[in-house]
Amino acid sequence: MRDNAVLIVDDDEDLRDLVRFVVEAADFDVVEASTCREAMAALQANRDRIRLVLLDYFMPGMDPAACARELCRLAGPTLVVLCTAAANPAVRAAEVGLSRWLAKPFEIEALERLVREAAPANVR
Amino acid sequence: MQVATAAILLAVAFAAYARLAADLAFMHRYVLAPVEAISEAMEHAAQLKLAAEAAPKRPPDMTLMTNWARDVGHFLERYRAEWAVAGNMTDDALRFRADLDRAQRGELVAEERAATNDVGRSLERIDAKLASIGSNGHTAASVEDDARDLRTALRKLLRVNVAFIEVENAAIERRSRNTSRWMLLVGLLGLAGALALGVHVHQAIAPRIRRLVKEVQRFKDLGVHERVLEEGRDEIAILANALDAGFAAIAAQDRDRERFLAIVAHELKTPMTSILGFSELALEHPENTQIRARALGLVRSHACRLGRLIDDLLLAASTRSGALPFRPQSVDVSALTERVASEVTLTMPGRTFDVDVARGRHLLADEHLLTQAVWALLTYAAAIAETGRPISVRLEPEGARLRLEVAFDAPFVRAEEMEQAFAPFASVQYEGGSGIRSAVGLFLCREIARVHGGTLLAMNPTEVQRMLVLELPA
Repeated sequence: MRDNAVLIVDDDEDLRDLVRFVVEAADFDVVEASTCREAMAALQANRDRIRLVLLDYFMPGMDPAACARELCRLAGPTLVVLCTAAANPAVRAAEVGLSRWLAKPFEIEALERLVREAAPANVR
Repeated sequence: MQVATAAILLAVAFAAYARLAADLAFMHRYVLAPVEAISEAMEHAAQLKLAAEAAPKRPPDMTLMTNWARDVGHFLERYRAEWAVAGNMTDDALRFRADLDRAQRGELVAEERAATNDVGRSLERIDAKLASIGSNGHTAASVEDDARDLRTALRKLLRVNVAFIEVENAAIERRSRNTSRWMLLVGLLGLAGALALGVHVHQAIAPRIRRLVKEVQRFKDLGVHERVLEEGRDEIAILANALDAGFAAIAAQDRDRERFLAIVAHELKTPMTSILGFSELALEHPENTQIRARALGLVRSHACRLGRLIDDLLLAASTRSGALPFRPQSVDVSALTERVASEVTLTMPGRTFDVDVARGRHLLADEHLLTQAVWALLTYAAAIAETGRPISVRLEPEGARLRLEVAFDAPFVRAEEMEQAFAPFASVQYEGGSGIRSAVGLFLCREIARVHGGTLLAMNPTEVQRMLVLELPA
């Protein structure tokens, strides 16, 4: 188990696997959740080592804003980024109270930059 | 207000007409008729006088003279009974006396009385002399002076009646002028009232209309709808409520469409993210066969699913415009069902389908549409079925129909939600299922069943089991 981890919250298994390939190459663990409930449980269980939360907008059985609010509360200073396929991701992120987003489909480099940014040396 | 004005004008007009008719009847009955009778009596008096004058030369016809005198007597009786103004207590006579007073010609009543008395006295003398002709030395010629007096009295009576005509004519003209003034006054009052009412109605209605127009313009420009609060019960309130309902329906449709587009974008972009990501990784790590195999598998399965999704959208658009293409041919429905089930399994590896298909069942159907319909049924079932539970697919003949039954456990889906999923732009998202799926497919599936003469029903056999049943004529 590594000291740093990324929590990916997405109902798409392929996307979770893609994130796993990229993030593990950056020496991070990946904690996966397919629902908001699973994400909250995973965040609580891995509070000390999760540096980045990637949250999908459309998730089954949840209100995106409520989920984002609850995850931010649990995550504290941890970076929470909205992954969205919306036409205007900035607006969508503002809707759920987040200031950072990753627009789908994204390039691997964009994800890698986020992981680097979330690494402990870069966390203020 | 307009109705009241029109009613008053009509009432005044009818009253004026009735008064005019009464005046004309009065003129004919009490003024013109006596003048005619006086003229006739004067003629008889003249004949009486002429006969008396000619009596010394030619013996007169006493019967004629007696008849003339008698006719004048009858006239006098009738005049006193019907036409004499003085002493007459009928409404017409009272009104006429009032007209005489108003015209300051009250002396005419006394003159009329004097004239009738003179006529009466002359007649008495003539009657007495005619009765005693042959005795007391009276001859026919002796009535000549009395006949002259009779004519003079009748002429006097005629002048009085002509004066009556003048007075009555002036009274009628005065009443006509008054009536005209009243009608003009009522008309002007009505016009003023109508104008005032128009201004009042304009002031009451115009702001409400302007507010409605503003709301319509705002909705047109911004697509924003706020409820128009019109609590009245008049036509404008009805119009405002209708606009409200229309705006609300359009806004709801817009919201549904936006939500649908967002879901479709999600459905398209999410697999594209995986495809792009894994293909990038495969290019970066050509030596990693695991990544390469995963990338190729993803490309294949997502391409298949996205192709179906795009077909769904295009066919749904055709259905909405009433132009769903239908090209029937003999189709092996058994083979088609098995093939589609395999494809869906490929795109949703976590799902298992328990397929039980009667072999060799053929239908006259559009193969492309039917494939799309079966795909829609299976993907919808896969989207909402409980994870880890198999989805049962059964195809069997039932009477003259072929029945495709898709059954699955979906404890998170309420029975009524099954039917809602048939709306054109409905979407489903269920925890425990395999995520969010747009449900154009079910709307389309029902339309495809309809063009084939079949039906698509949603059923709830048990508390947790849900079932989609597609029946097509064999």
